[in-house]
Formats: sequence, C-alpha cells, structure tokens
Amino acid sequence: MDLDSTRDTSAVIDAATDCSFVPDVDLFTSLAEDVESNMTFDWMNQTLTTLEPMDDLLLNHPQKASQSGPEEDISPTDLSSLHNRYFASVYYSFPFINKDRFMAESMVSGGPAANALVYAVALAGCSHTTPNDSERENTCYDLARDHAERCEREDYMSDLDFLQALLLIGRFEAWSRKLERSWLTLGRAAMLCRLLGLHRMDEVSHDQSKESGESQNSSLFSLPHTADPVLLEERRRTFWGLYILESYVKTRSGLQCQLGHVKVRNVNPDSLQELM
Amino acid sequence: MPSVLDVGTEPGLEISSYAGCVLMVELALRCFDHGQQHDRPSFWDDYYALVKKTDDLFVLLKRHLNATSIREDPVAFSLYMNLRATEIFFHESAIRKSEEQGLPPLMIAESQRRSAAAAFQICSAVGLNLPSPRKESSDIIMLQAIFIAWPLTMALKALHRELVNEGGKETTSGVVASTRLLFAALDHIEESEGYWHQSVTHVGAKLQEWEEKNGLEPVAL
Repeated sequence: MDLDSTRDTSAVIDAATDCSFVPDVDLFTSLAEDVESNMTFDWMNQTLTTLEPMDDLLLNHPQKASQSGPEEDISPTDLSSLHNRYFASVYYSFPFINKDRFMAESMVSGGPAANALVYAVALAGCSHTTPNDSERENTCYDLARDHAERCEREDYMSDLDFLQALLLIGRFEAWSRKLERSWLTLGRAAMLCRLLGLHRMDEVSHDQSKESGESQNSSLFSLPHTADPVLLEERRRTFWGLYILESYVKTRSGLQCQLGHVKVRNVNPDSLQELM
Repeated sequence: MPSVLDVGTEPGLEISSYAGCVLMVELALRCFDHGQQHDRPSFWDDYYALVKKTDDLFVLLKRHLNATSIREDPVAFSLYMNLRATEIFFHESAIRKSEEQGLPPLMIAESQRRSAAAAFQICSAVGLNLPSPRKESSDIIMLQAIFIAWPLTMALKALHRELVNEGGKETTSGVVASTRLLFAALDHIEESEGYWHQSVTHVGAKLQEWEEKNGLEPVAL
C-alpha cells in the first residue's frame, strides 16, 4: 500500500465544514483579479445605478427564487429515516460505505462532499420503496448532484465522500435507464479516482507503472494518509464498486470505461484477499 | 502483468462475495472480448481457458455459491446469477463457432446442454429468492435488479432453444415452468416495454405459442 500522502488535506476538509452554500454566480473575473488588472472597460465609467437591473439578473439564482429551497423539502427526520432504510436493506446489495463513519459525519454540519453523500445515500434509500417515493427521490437526486457540483467548483475534490456520492448518483441514473448520464457521472468518478491515486493503492509496484508510461500521481489531489485498515478497506471497496458499475454501463451502452480496463489488470491479485 | 483473475485457488484462500463480484466482472469482460473476436485462430484455446477459469472461480467462491448464501447475501445472489450467465454467454459463442466450422453435432449438443444447465441453475437461484409479503423489506430480486436483468435474459435465451427443440414431455414441462418463472422475475424488476423485455420478445412469443398449443396445463419445476 503506498498512498500518496505528502499533502495534508485535513485543512481543506476542515475548511469545507465552515462554508455555507453560495450559488455559482461568478460569471466574470473575481474582484481581487480586477484590482490587480490594468484593464478598463467603458461600462466601468457608468454609474452603479445603471447596473442594478443586471444585479437582479445575475444575483438572483433560480434556486433562490422560491421561498423554500429543495433542502427544506427534506426534513432531518426524513433524511435520517432514508439513511436508516439504506443501511437496513439497500446497503447489502452493494456495500462500499462505512456506516459508522457515515453516520458520525452526517450528524455534524458538513461541507459539500459530506452533503453530497448525505443526499446520495438518502437517494439510494428512496429506491425500491412501495409506493415509489418519486418526489423525495427527485429532491435527493437534485441536491446530491448540486453538492457534488460544488465539490468541483469549490475545490473540495480530495474527499472520499465526493467519490462515493458520484457512485450512488451514477448507480441511480443507470437504474433509471439514463445510461449516458450515468456514464458521464461514473466517468467523473473514474477520473477522480485517478486524481486521488485510488487505482494505485494496491498496485504491485510503482516502478512497473513508470515503465508502462503512466506518470505518478504528482497532482495536488490525494486522500489523507491513513493506516486505518477500515478506512483503507472502504477506499478499496469504493474503487472496485466503481469498476463494477462502469463495467455494467459499458456492457449496456457499449461506451468505454473511463477507469481503464488495462490499469485494473495491473492490480496485484493478492489485494483481493484484503477486500473483505 | 498479472490479471486480478490470476488470484490463486489454493485451499484456505478466502475472499468475500464483494471481491468475488470483481473477479466475476473481469471474467465477464473477457468473455465479451472473446465473443467479439470470433474469428481469431485462438478461439478454442481461449474458450477452454475461460471454461477452466470459470471452474476455478466456482471453487474459489464456493462458500458464497450455495443456497444459504444465495438466499441471505444479495451480493452472493448477484455473483451466482452473473457467473452462470457468463457461462451461457461463452457456451453460446462456442455453439455458433461449432456450427460455422461444421463440427460434429455431439460437440454442439454438449455446449447446448451446458448452456441449458446454467439457465436452469439461474432459475433455481431465482426460486430461492422469490419475493413474498413476509420478506417485503428484503426483496433481493428488486435490490439486485440492476445486476440480474442480464442473467435473467441470458437464461431465457438459452431456454428458448430448448423450447424450440421440444424434447420429451417432462423436459419441455421443466423448460416452460422455468421460462415462466424467469419472466415473472423480469416482470418484477422491469416494465413490460423495458430494454430487457425487448431483448427477449422472441422468447415470450414462443412461450405464448406453446401455451396456445398445449393450454395452460400445470407444469412442474
């Protein structure tokens, strides 16, 4: 096991917990960049009042238009019951999330990655209900995707929760016969796996990969180093869960796996014995 | 470079049903590659290698591939169904290749027998997990719907040939009962105009034809 661990991401993860949801309205360069820039524009000479109608247009994000956002449509009690339903039955059909870790994280107000997973697990908890709980399902789906999107926009990608959320979203999309969308979602997850180096965590030898021409994971992204066997097992299961889902979508759609078939074959077979 | 499928089969080696699914997926992908490279000179070498690899996996995963595990562990259920479907897939490839090459009918019959046997085994696994009002909270067939639709349709296609060939009365009776059960499972997880239903329309038509000819007489599994 040789996880890339030189970068301490805990600060990043901690910072995530302090952020509140801000819709993406940054259509232009940031104020800080403007200050350093020497560029001037004609409209900068206009009085601010002439731009006020534009403020309305840009700053009133569609989600803010209604009095109550989708988050308010799902009460904490509802969320909790959907999580319990997931772990009581659906979980056993595809077990890759550590229930204890998830429950502990979901108790505190989390960042976008934790929130994405909270809603993605609730989404999975909605499935297979009689009668079909489509209203809550749609709400959970939208919220899970919104928070996952925030993870990318706001650089909270070095987080296992984000990856697991993508898996559950992709699984739901495949189940709902939105195969192309599922392929895109799982493709994002596959590329995230590569960024995080999860495809290397049980690799035979890094030297062999160097020989095969693949560069080392020297990017800014990595998961925090851990020797905790439970956490390592959860990461391993998440990676292989993606492999199973991507393979399924490949066989259904004919679209190639982003994870890369060859790279999976580089994995040390002995590592499967560690997959509990 | 070793493949994950090269995991050993020595006694004492124990892996989980989840890890078994990874191996099964790898095997299935190899089978698809094999089926697509139908004209390769190494077709039969690859075929027998797949047969051997599948047998090895059944040995390695023995503790997950029994009735108790299939009933209690959704992942083991899915694993069993897909391993059997993979068997059907490569036996069907062998049947097509044998027919193309004009190989002895006995060779074709052997592949057909193995394909049908795997289909009946899929049917038995479904029978172990039939939904009931008492087990509403653990409807394994529905829970694993995404992963078992393919095995259900592979089994239906394999049984279709048996239905067309119409062996003895007892054999046909078993085929009809199994086909009905597989369709019931498919109906349970997908609406009748869904993708998987569409892929077995011809099987449904043949079953209907048989029922019109023979009436809805009771058949035994």
